[in-house]
Amino acid sequence: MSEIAVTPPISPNHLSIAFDALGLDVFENIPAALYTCDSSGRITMYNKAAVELWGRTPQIGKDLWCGSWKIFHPDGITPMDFDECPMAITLREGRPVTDREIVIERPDGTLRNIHPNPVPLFDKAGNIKGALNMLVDITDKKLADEKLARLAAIVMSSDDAIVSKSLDGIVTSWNDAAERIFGYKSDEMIGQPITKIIPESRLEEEPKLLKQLRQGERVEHFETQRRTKEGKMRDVSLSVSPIRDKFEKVIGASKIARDITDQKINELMLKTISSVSPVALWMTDTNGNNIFVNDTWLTWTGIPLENQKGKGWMDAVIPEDKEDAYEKFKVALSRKENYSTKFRILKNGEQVRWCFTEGSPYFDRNGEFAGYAGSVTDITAMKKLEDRKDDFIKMASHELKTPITSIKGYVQLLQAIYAEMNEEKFKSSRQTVKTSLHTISKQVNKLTRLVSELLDLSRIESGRLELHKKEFDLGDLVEETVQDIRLTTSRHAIIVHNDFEGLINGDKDRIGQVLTNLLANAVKYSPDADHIEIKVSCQANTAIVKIQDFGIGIEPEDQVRIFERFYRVEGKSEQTFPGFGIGLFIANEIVQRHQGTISVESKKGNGSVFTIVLPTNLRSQS
Amino acid sequence: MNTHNILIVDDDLDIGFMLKMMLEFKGYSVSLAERPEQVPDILRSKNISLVIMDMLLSGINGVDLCKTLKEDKDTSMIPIIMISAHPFARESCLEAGAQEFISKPFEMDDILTKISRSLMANPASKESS
Repeated sequence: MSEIAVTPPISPNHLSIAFDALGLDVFENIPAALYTCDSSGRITMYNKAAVELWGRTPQIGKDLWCGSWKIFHPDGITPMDFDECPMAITLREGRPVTDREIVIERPDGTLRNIHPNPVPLFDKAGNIKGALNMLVDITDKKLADEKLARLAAIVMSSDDAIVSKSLDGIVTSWNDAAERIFGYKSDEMIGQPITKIIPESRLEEEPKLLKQLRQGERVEHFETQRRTKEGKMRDVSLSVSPIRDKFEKVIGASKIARDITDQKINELMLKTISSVSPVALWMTDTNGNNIFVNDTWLTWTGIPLENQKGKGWMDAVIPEDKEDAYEKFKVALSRKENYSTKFRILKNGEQVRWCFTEGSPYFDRNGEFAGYAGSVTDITAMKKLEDRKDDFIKMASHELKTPITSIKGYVQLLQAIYAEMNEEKFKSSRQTVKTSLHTISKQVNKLTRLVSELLDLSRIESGRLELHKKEFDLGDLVEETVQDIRLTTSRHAIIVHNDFEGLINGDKDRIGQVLTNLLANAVKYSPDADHIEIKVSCQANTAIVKIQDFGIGIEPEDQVRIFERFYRVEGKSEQTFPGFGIGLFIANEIVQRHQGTISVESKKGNGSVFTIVLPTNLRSQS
Repeated sequence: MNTHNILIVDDDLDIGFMLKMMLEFKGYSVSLAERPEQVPDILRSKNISLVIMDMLLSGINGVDLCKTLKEDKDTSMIPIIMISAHPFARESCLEAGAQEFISKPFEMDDILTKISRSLMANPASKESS
């Protein structure tokens, strides 16, 4: 009895024959929903399974075609008339209907997907006497199919390669992303060993992975490289999980491979730019604790990365600057404002750098404050120049005050003499008046020269030093300049050797200014010598002027710097040589603007030789 | 008529001569030293009542020279007036023992006032005969 009931597949036709033979007891208890209708559609019999499925008990001889409370088309929304149901069709047309699905609703509101299988029953004369229907509940199968379809869609639309393989490493599935990333179509990979995409240098990874899988272990975010069909390497992050059968036995592996090639390139770019950056970089968390500094900062401070975290970076800041640097940051942090300050840092206990730091708050993807990010610029050179500029301004004001003091004093003296009513005394002051006027004139000239130097410096700094070029005789210019200098010194004989013949194209006044400066320096820095030599010669399209003094000379370390702006040779003995310390800087600029060079050879105590080289074929360009 | 001997120490001779002529015009008797090393000899040989000295001298800092003179018992009583164009020089000059400080450029009246004040404040200053 039971053997017949459980052997699938059993068509309702067979069943009706079987029930005729086996009787009602079997019909009643068989675990498939069964019912019959007479030729007019009235339900004549149903079993327990049918009642369970419908969720109600139909009324024999009254309910037509179906025992369901409500029926719908397969969409589960559109109501279906009972005379449209498969049972009704079978009775009307005298044929089985097995290709329809319906949805039934139980009185409690639950819905079930049903596959009805009505078959007509005939009497011995061949007339339709009714029909038997077996209702198959396909709800669970439908849900499972939908779930599977969804999963398949997810796998196929994933941006990550999703691949499954057997425990001997043979590929069993290969999604679209795997095709995109590795270049192989699924039919080129399914059935093939996964080693096809593993570069030779990494072949030893696969047996290790398989061993872990056999032991049922997962492998997560394993960064490695795989080779595409074209032979290119891709950086991938692998997550591999064992696939188990229903007995929990590992039968294969699913592998998700994320292409991280671009991410790796970005990481490398960021790392490179961060480590070679000429400025130091830093980041904090929301509490202002340091979470990152770049290699530049590590080099500057000599403090290892692990000691820079939190407030550790402050260890590099010199004690005097610590409080200011941190207080300013705390204020900015509390207001989420931009931060900037200057401080000095130490390396191995020595002051090495002046720093300027700037930072701004940064925000995460949701717009939430995430901390501060900023940079530190080394401003040591700028600071030194600033200091030199400050020194220069102090020195310049001192230098300007000296002639002003002299002029003012003599003018006051002259006023006092003029105010003296005593004729006798007025007459006896003739010599004083003469000396005063001479000195005033001299000091006004000195003041004029100093102011001109300042103007020249300002013009050079702003790129507005203009040259008015025309052809002139360099030998004549040297003679003229020497004549002027001779008037200022009674101590030195200035000896000129002029072997230069010809013209050069340049700004005569400016070149004259250079010669005056060098000759005045030669006089100034050789107080104990009695002569100065100046030689003018010609060599392969160049004019060479050498000015030699026999004075105090210049130390080697100063020789390379005397043409710099604001540079003055330091030292007690030189302190009172007046001047701004910009004369040589201006001279150098002028000569360079003529495509020439200026240089010095000197030995401390033995005097100096300054050499100007100017091209003789200078084209006119101002 | 002033008959005090005043010593001016300045390596900038234009200013040195100007001061000399100015003070002589006002009746003082004036000696001028261009270099600091000349100072001890002049102080020994002449009856100097007051020294006017520039702060920046070649060879030796005027402040150091001022200190040296103030430490020497033979010269410590001589009032010293220091002159400088440096904006922050006043304090170091007064600390070194100078009676007065004059910044450049100066007013003639200011110098004359400070000279009289220093001479009057110092009973040891002698008028030469």
